[in-house]
Amino acid sequence: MNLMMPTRREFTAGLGSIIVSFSLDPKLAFAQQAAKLPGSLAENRMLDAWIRVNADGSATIFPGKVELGQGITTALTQIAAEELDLPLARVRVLTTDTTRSPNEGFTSGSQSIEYGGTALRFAGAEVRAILLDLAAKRLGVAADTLTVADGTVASADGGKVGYGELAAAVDLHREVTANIAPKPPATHKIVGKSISRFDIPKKVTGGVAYVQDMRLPGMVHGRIVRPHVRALSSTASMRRR
Amino acid sequence: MAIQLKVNGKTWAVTAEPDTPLLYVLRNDLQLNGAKFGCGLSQCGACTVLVDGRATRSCVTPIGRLGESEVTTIEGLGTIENPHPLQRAFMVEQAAQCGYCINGMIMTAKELLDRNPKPSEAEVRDGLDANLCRCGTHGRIIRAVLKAAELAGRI
Repeated sequence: MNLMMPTRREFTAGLGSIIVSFSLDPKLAFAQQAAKLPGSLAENRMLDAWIRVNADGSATIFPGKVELGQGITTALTQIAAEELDLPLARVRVLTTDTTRSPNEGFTSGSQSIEYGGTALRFAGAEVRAILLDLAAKRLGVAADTLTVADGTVASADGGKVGYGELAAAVDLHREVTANIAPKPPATHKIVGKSISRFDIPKKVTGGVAYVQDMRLPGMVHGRIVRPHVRALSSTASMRRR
Repeated sequence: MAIQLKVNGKTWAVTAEPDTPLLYVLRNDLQLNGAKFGCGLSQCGACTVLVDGRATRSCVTPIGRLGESEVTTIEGLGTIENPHPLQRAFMVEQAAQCGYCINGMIMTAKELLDRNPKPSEAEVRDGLDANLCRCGTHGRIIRAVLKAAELAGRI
């Protein structure tokens, strides 16, 4: 429900615009307010917070929403693969990690695709455009004459360069502009297809699939041992394993 | 104290009190993730394993009572590469939402299919009646068990 409320940052930004509306130059007022970015990009504005291009020609995505069995790992991968022009098998997903993933707040309210999916859609489109610009320089042609299939950029005259070859040169540590339009739904080849969920095989074979399955070095298990009758004074004990 | 347990065809020695629930030993000592702690009261079925082929709630089964019994967990059925027909059927039917109950569904269905290899839909419903699923995946789960019977029949 918190997501329905304006966040502190949005609220402060709103206040800012009220205050600067009294200034004499409207252009100055405009410059002080950062552009509103779509979905969860609004709160996580750096491109490299969302996507990394790897030297092996794959990409890694970093969602900030958690897989709870709603299938978002699969769906967000489809969205990123679609925009990046990569096959599904070459898009890896980092399971949400507080030290690396963008902070998308709660995973609740059926908002993971709306907010996280929108962010990856725009970020994916922008990363693809950046890769195309780099490829155009390498191949010595204009970017708008290039085509991309399965992570390989091709020019009309037969030149080819893979995303993996561009990975070292691509710098995604920059703010998203959201000026690159994602693909229109009518052209989608991966999004909209019903595919098998990535998380199910582990869940039916006893794989590591839940937070309870994580085992950290030196981890111990604790539990409160409660008395059987009320007359006892309560004691807590921890069993070391 | 040291206790010997037979799990998935291997004998394990663990140091634990005899009243320790089998589930804790499976998860914490043997590091087997399949059986899940749900309610801890034998009410939900997420912790189900087979003890000598019978579906058993491991959260209320003290290890001291197992003796020479053979314990089978979902890890003992098959792997992602070489799944048991039940595991394959649950993948084919995409029969999991959060998936937390699925271990219990599969292990309970294992005993059911061992006793009755060609169950009717009503028999599957009846057999899984005491296993809870809060996501509401029951329709797919029932289809998966019927599919497993079909797959096993073909082998």
